[in-house]
Amino acid sequence: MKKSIESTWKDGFLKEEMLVAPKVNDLYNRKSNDIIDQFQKRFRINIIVLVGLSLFVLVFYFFKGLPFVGLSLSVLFIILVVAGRKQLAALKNIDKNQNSYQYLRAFDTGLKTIVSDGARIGRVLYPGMFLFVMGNFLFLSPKTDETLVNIMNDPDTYLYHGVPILWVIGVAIITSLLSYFGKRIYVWDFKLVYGRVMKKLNRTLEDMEELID
Amino acid sequence: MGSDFYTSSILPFAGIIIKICRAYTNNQEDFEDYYQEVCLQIWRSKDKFRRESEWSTWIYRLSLNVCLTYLRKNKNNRHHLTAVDIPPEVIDESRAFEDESINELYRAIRQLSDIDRAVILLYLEELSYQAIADIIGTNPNNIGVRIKRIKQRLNKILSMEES
Repeated sequence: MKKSIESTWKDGFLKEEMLVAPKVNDLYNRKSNDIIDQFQKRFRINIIVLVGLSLFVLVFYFFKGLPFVGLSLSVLFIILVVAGRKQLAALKNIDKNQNSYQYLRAFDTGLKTIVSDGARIGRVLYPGMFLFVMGNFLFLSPKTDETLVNIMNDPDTYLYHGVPILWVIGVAIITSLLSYFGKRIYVWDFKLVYGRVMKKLNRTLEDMEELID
Repeated sequence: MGSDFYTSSILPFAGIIIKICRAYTNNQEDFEDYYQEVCLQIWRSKDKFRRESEWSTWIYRLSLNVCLTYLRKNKNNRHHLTAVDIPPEVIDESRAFEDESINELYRAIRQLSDIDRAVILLYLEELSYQAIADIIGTNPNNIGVRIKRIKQRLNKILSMEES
């Protein structure tokens, strides 16, 4: 007669020696592969890099005689640092000691906060970076002078605060587009890396909620 | 990790961790990684153990939470997923235990959703519906119905494997 699932389990594990624990090597120094730890690690590194970058641009542009560009960029990076620290603190508060539903729900909320904060920042970050590149191009590139001279030689060139109006319009359009799509770009970028994890998490939570109702 | 803590507080409960980790992994390498991760997280979280439950119940809870959010190693996938749906035919852990019927049962369990795996593992470990609901965070009234459904599914998978 076919054994029940329960007896298969019970009889199968009667011999304790069947459950051989794997060797545990140097657990203290072991790197965690838990997703929350990975996020924390990633954010910690990001924060260090961003602090370094904000200081670097500040000093670099100060010596280039463009302190305002340096300060603007530095502020941009500092915004990211503040947001990163906030996200890191939220992730650190997720306690594995909770029941699975609370734990996964907290984890899901943490992920959603990261996405929504990041998306908001993306609306400033991407256009900001574009303006930074353009600023670099306009103020630092020697080719800009040649191009400007050529344009200025054309008497029909309209200027806005000394800059050809077409340039201003071009930069404004691209900046607006980047600001408009900044949220989507960030979400797309995030989902590229964590999309399947998020989907799986949603499926698991839906499954659990069926058991709660 | 202090080896004393491992020997006194984890090793006696290694059976629980092994049984859970086996259900969420498809090969020996992943299994060992999951096992070590669970041990690491137990050690890290030990101060948060509030003695509201048995140490063993707490280990069930923590092991499940780790297994549900662990980043599975996947050389072919740069996204490092938690639990990739790997078809049973590519699972190479068919000889994890000496007892073949346990291996068959594990193969069937791995075909369930993550939560169904957790529910059936805790049920097979003879935890009460209330304890299962407490660990998972669900309503105990629905656990019985779900277990019945999972067992039907497992029996179906097992009989399909036999035939």
